[in-house]
Amino acid sequence: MRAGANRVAAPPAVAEVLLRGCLPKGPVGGSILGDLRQDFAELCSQHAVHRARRWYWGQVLAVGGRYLLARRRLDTRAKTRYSISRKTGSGLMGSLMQDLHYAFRSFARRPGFSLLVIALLGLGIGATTTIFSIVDGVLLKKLPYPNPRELVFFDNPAHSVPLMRDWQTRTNSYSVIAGAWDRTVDLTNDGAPVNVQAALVTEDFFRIFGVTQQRGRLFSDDDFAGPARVAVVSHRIWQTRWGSDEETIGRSITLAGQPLTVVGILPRSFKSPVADMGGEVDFFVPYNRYDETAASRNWYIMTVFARLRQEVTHEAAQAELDAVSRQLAQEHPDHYTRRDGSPRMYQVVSLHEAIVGDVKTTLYMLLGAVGLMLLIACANVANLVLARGTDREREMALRAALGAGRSRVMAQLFTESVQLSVIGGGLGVALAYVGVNAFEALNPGGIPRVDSIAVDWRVMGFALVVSAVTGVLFGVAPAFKASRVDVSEALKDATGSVTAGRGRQRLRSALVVLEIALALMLLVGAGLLFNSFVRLMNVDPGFSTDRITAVMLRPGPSFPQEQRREFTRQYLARVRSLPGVEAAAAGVTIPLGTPGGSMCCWMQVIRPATEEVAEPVEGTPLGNPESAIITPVTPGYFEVLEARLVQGRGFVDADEFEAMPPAVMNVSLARRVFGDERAVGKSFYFGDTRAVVVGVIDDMRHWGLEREDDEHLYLPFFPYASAHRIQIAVKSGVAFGSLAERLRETLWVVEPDLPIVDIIPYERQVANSIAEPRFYSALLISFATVAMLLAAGGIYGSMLYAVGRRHREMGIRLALGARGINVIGMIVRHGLMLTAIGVGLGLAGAYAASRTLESFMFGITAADPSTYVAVSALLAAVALAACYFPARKAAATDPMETLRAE
Amino acid sequence: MAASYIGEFEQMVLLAVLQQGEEAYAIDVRKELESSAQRPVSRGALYRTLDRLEAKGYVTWQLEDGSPIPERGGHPMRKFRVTGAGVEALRASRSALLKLWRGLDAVLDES
Repeated sequence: MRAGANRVAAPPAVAEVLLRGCLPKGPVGGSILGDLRQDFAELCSQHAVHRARRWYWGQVLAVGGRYLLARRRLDTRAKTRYSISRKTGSGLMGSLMQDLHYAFRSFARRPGFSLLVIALLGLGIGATTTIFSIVDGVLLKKLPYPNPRELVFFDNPAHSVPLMRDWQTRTNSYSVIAGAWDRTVDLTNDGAPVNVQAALVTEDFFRIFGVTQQRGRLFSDDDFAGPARVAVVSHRIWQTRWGSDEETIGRSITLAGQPLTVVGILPRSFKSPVADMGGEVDFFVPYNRYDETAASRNWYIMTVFARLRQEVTHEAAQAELDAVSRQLAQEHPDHYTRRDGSPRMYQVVSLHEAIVGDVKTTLYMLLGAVGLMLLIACANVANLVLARGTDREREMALRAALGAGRSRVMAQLFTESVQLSVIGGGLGVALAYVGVNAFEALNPGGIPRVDSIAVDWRVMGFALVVSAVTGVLFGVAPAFKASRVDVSEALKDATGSVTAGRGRQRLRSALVVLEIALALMLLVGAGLLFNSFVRLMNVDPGFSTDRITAVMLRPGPSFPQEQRREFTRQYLARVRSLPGVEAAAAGVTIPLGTPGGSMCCWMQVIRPATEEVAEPVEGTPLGNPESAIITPVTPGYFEVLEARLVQGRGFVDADEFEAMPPAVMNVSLARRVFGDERAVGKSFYFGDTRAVVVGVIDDMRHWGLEREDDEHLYLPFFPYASAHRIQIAVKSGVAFGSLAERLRETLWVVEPDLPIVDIIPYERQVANSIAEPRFYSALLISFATVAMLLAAGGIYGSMLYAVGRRHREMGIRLALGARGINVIGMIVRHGLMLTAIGVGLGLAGAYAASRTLESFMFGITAADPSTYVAVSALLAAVALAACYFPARKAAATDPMETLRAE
Repeated sequence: MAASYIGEFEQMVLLAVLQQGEEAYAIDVRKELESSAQRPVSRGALYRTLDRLEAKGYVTWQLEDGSPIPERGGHPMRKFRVTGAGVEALRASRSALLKLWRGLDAVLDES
């Protein structure tokens, strides 16, 4: 089977690289590697993969070590010959060894300088490598399925089953099309009840991803012909819940009230792509192909995946799908035409794009930011090396005088810089380890494929290349300068000239300008993100979180509707009577209870009922007959959340018994349906039901602080709540810990079988909903801060050095009557001029690059002038401080001392 | 004949290669050794010994024809063969041992 052959487990890549290095080249080494692979595959088939991997690492020592030892013995024999050739130091290798030797010596001579350079580079390379690891793991690595390029996804998270069947029968571009309906369900009859993520999958789902069972079996065709009786479970749940119990196959479980038998366990390497789109799926259940209830074209439940046939291109598949969409629009105009009459089209996207598409911009933005930071670190180091180069002019001149050619001097300086940067790269990789772990720990969610992020050989290779390039980058300017030293001049003037070489000074100034420009670009980016984050935090959400605890419940399908309502009534009554509880109310959702999605609620067309039209009339709705989101809530809901009542009243207990249901609209909906007229007292239709408006409340941000409220219709909870979700807001001054405990106990008294999703201070729920923007703005701010400090250090170092070099000049100026303030002014003026040029360039660069940030902005544009002005001022102030201290030192020069020395 | 002396493990390896006949792959040679000698055999020791025997001219190898199987990650496979000199060395070693055994059967049978 092709898919099976593709899934042969591979030994650890790093171990294999090490082994390859130890073994002889050619067929001998190759055949040994092959033997070990074959043994590895055999072990994998008998034991867990991690055991086989451990064994393979052992072979690096057992086999590789033996060959290495044998080679060393040979080397010892050849040592005499080698030591002779080393002394003569002939050839390219000889001079390289010599350069490395000198590099180490000069490193040891100035350890402070070298450590500073290594630290700067380590920081830059570390940050870049960390972000690269993430970009690599999430965006660049292939999906862990055979031939991942062939995998596609039908855009939109969910489609109806009949639509999926239409695609299966009417298209030819795919070898397989299958769907998965993932749901949170309760697992009972197996210890304490818990919510788990399960997916109902159609035939061929596993075939698309080329997965075979690790134990037991996958589904047979019979499993799909009738109500589900079996389940296949993930390796993860097998390990964590059942401790890798061998008896798991055949185990009875109850999922969503349905008794099932576990028949198979999936391999550890398999992760359902559904998991990357939210929640890890642990239970797979066959979807009953004769299920009548889900056969409606109105039920959007299936996430649909497919595998393209080998010879079919994406474009061809899309064209075919477009044709099918047009056919369907003709056959079922009520389902597959848009309001403007055009057919509803669907997109085929690559699965990789579907999974990572959303985070691409974010990650590349971060990579760009750390890239800038690395460039600043490079400029900083180049500046340091240049400063040091001035001191080493004589050394280089001496070498040249003794016969070293220009290329030889340059080669030596390059060796020095590359050596430093490679050590810095080593430090960077270590930092990247820390950074990647920190990122995984802090990841606010929203980043898929986190488990494929690793500091592996690809990342190491990247770090090595970056280090080498960095070494060349910061080494090139100093090396050129040093190689063009005028030998006789440098040797003659042992004490150095009154002013530093103009060329060198210009180069250093250019580097400072570059640093400032790059730092400003980062600062603008960070400033924009911070600015929009502050605006996001200050948004008026339309409700209060004060002293509210949220209880999130998800009674699965095993709780019938009647039972759910009855449970809510009883639970609320008990909670309200708890000591210290001021009020409590429930809704299908509370605002920000389900951030990001409106999947929780149902939507219906709303239209006003005019007096002449007592019954709904097809086709003549007034205004714009769009749907509104319908949220059933209990009495007290608006009061607990402190929603602002604009007209009328909220719900009361008697409302559930009214013949014509009372309803509350939010302002957006009321305005759409009734325009500027007073809404209270007016009646309307939702679907075929006539209701009357009793109140209008201000909009509340339900799905995210950054999203305006949709048009919302609130109905009495008891007759209308049908969703598998109940969210309860409890207002109380009691400390959260003890309150949560009581709420939990009370729940189990009322309904022992109900799993709790979460009990959380409402404030935290709201904070969590903006965790992502907070995380990214914090990250960018920390990068920008480091960049600013690096740039400030660059200016400071550069000025300090210039002052040191011009010590005598300053002394003479002061002796000739210049005042301290003049000297300070002179230095600061120079520094500020560089800053001004840098800021000017940086602003232009930031403006050009700001478009990439547009999608992260909230409440401001990426060209927000106030941010640009504020960060420029900040950077200028920091630069001023960085110039002032060296200037003060210059002004404090004792003129007498200088004159005496002259 | 001092030059043809071979160590115990070398002898065992040569014999195991002979036991495999025409199809003596290192993997099978190791399995043969483990099952006859009843002890684990380090792969490192086996490969180094095969190298040594090759250097002495006692074994030769050739690459297996045909495309490599996927479990080997595309790596080639070596098929070993004992040379005439190898057989000769085994013979010499065996006759030396037999000479030393002569007359000792009674002593060793008792223990």
